[in-house]
Amino acid sequence: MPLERGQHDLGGLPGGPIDLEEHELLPWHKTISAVFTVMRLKGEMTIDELRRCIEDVPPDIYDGGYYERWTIALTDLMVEKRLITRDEVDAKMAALRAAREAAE
Amino acid sequence: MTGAALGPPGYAAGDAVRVALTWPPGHRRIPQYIRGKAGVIERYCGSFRNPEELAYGFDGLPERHLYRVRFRQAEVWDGYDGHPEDTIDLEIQEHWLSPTEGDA
Amino acid sequence: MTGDTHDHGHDHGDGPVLTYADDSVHDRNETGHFELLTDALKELSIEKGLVTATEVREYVEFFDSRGTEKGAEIIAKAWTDPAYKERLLADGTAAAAELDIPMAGAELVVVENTDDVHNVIVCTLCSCYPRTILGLPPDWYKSKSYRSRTVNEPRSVLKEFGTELPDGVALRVHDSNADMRYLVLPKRPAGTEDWPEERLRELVTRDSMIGVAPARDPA
Repeated sequence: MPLERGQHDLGGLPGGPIDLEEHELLPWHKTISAVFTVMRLKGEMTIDELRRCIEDVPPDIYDGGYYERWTIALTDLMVEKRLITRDEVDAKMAALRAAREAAE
Repeated sequence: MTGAALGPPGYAAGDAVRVALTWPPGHRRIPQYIRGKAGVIERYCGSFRNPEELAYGFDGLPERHLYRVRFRQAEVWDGYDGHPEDTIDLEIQEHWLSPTEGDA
Repeated sequence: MTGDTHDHGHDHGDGPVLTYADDSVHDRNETGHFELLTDALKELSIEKGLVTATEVREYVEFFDSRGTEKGAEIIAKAWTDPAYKERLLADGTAAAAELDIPMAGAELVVVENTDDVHNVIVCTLCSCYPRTILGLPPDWYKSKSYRSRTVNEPRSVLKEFGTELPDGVALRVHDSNADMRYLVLPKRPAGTEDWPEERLRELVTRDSMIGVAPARDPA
């Protein structure tokens, strides 16, 4: 009896009509791609490691969008590789949020 | 760590092969839908670091031979109703393949 | 060479039973959470010396600048130069390198559409795409519906793009699941026999190089 397939392993599953609407990429989509690409080229991580982390994100994140799952997976991978801690991420997000609110 | 040396490729274009019907845990690049299916080597692609190891931070060496394998759609999907010559190609690593009788 | 439009007026009545949540980027960033997380990762990566701000900016500029032009250049050259086409089909990576187009670690396989064969590309496991040639992939290429259905009901997927294959044409699907990246060499449109390479490039759309549509009709 096969194990349940991974959430990323979609080939042949039933699906609805394809949404053909074109969207512009948002700036943060390009930023997260760039941060990962630079770290990959410097040998900090491989695309295979990121893919594994993408496959392992919670289902609501996986279904929540391509760059959304990338961002969560990259966070997970950087923590796993001890490049950053969760506390550092939380603190940085709080600081960025406070700075933005102060600027408004 | 310098894994075992990579030998010559075990298959050539035109060889009949079958993908392993197995469900090992971990990061794999072999979709569920193609496991256990029989096809024909379309071309040898070269050797590449093994993503099944790269995904966990290993060096992925020794490299693995990679082939493009062509499958008849009617063999892959029950009730496939397209053209009888419709095919699907995937890239399969040598360790997922075994020789099979030739009428796939 | 972007902004292709498609006929959406087709019937879905006989197909899918399950509709996935829309996984496009649309309306997905109300709270700004992911944008904030992205900025946090970027700043932490800079503080820790993993990346520099300049390196990140250079790649953002690269993503901004890279569209489908390189792909159109390859295809128009193959249409007009039989020797180049032969090299392209034999070794896509080397033929792209002739035009100074890098493959960034992957290998390029070019598959040719003919009167008897049509090719279409998908990545069912993630969204592998020849980014150095075609830029970043469109949302539909990354959507669950395209990734799931293109392998087992490719003809109905093509119909959604307005592409109906004649009965005698065999369809080859390529699941880009490992180290190759794929580019479709579309059929050269009729009536372009006298066209120079530069003008032919204008007929080569992104969608025609993924295989969901033919090249633009010059008429």
